[in-house]
Amino acid sequence: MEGPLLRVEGLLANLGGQPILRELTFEVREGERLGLIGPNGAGKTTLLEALAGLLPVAGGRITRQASFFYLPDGIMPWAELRAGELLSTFQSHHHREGQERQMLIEELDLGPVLGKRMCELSKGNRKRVLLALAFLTRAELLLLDEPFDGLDIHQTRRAMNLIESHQAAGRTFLLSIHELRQAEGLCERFLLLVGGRLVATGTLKELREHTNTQDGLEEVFLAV
Amino acid sequence: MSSGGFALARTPPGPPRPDRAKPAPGFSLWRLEIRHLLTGRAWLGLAVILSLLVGSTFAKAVGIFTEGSRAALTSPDLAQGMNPFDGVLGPTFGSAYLVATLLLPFVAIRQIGADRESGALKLLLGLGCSPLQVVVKKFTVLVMAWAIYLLVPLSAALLWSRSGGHLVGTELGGLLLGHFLYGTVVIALSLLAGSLGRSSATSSLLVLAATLGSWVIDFEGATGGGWLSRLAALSLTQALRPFEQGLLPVGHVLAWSAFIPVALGLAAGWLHPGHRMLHKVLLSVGGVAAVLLIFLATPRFQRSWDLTEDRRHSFPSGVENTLSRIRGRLDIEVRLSAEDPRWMDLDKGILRKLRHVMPHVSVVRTGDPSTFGRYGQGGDDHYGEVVYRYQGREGLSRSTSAEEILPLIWDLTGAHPWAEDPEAAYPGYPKALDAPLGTLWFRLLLPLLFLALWLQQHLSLPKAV
Repeated sequence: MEGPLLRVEGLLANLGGQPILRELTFEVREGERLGLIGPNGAGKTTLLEALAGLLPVAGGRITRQASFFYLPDGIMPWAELRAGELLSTFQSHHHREGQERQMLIEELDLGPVLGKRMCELSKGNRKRVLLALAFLTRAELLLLDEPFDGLDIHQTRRAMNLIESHQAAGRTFLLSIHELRQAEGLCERFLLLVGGRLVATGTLKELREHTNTQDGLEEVFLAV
Repeated sequence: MSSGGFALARTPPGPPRPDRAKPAPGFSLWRLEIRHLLTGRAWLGLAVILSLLVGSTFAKAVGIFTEGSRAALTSPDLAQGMNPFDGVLGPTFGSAYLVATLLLPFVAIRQIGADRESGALKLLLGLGCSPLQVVVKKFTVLVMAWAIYLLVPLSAALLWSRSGGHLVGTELGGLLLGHFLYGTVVIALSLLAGSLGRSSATSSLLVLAATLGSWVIDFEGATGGGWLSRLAALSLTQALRPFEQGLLPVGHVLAWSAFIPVALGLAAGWLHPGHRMLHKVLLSVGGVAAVLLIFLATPRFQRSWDLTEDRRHSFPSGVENTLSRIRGRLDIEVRLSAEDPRWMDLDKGILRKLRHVMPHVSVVRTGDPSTFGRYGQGGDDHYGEVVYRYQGREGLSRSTSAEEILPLIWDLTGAHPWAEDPEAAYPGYPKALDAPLGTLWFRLLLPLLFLALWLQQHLSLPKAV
């Protein structure tokens, strides 16, 4: 494929009359794991919603060259339905093989929760089911908002491995992650968003150069 | 398994490759929608309340009909007044009206509101469904559920028939169609309210406001005149009333059927979180204009079919044939106030029959209370007159009786009624039952049946588990 999967130019978005995203310009390249980081209220979720077409934008242009799927954070869809049923529905909707579904169940250790209703699941279990739903789609670009929120260290590691294996199979990821160590361990490139503005983009090395720091992402973040 | 002397290890498949193919439309999301409805308690609550309400109304209606029938069975004159359509079917289906008006909106709002509040809507849109597809899926599933709900009052009609009560297929069919159409309109409106409101509570308030507003407009329209009575034609209650009277009104069916896609289109427009407010407002202006056009066009389709066995809305067939062949326009000016009993007699009697059969008839009531006083007590000599105009000719009458008005119409139009054989008078169908009907069915078996279905849906595990 030629060019980036997603190109954003001069993106503007307002909420309640207040500017939330200010003139954002960046691109998502094919096959990368791009981390979206920034303090609370920086506009990370707003940006993902705008990219997914779920928020009206006030200006700028979004050019999508790929199929995409957006997984929001903090949702509890179809609360009365069971996790296994939702997985089957997504599998069937996307014409996935039963083997592919089973593999996701094993990789995310979902076996014990398949028979439970979504409203009965803990935050972490629900997050893992929702991640499995996202992976069952055929989207080339996955926009994941806080994919590890609520997961313990083992579950986070499993989810990261899954993201890496799917990237190797050709998927691209834009991940909003507030835990900087997780972002540093997983992502290859970063978008640093502060107050709705994109203050830095690039690899960790490029961000270090930009901020004249030598340490990890946390120090870069603090320096910005 | 070996090949060329080397043992091949069975390797697990890697992650599936992504692609740009859009999911083909399948049944999976429909099934999800059906399960979403059936696993909710709202659906069960509505079904149980409908069963109990229909059972209670049906038992009371049959009891009262039985009391009337005991006297009528000994007197043919009294028997003529015993009509099961009015005495049993109408009140029994009235329970469905109550449920459709007061409970069905909340089931519909839950179906759309829960998706928006829980985040399911964002996933559905991410799965490639357009907002219109989401709304249409929900609408279709809810309409199917409403059709199933209507089996409850229908079972009462069948019980009545099996116990020897008189049942006319056309009357029952018209009543069923009316209630189905009414419920369908309520569902479309509720989905629109569900899309407009930011929360289910706000949406419920919107629907309640529409219901109460309908009742107020209806009442004002019945007692006031002019634009209020025209506005009353837009009230929700009017969607059902003709069917309850045993009519199949073409204009009503067309208007409300056209209203439904407009409401669904508006609901889809408001549902999408990514649409700008200006876009939604412009869409709404277009929708309101479309609804007004639909209801302005409705009076052009005055034709209706009288489905009643006693043909209460019809003239004798010879008279009807003659009236239906009058091609010119008959203008009728009624100088009576809306509260005047003579207006009600005239409107519900001969005017309705004329509208029902004549291709071009226009009725204007000019008896404004400010001109004549509420009952003509202003002393104006013209109050009470009804003026009939046809192709430059004019006739005047104060009567509300067909025996006096029809000859006047024949004189004006030059039409001559066909000679006809006298039609058999409606005999009436008194029926006295010794025991109450359907108590066990409506108060125990049917609620248990719904409970069992809900439990089956609620407890069922996914196949692969």
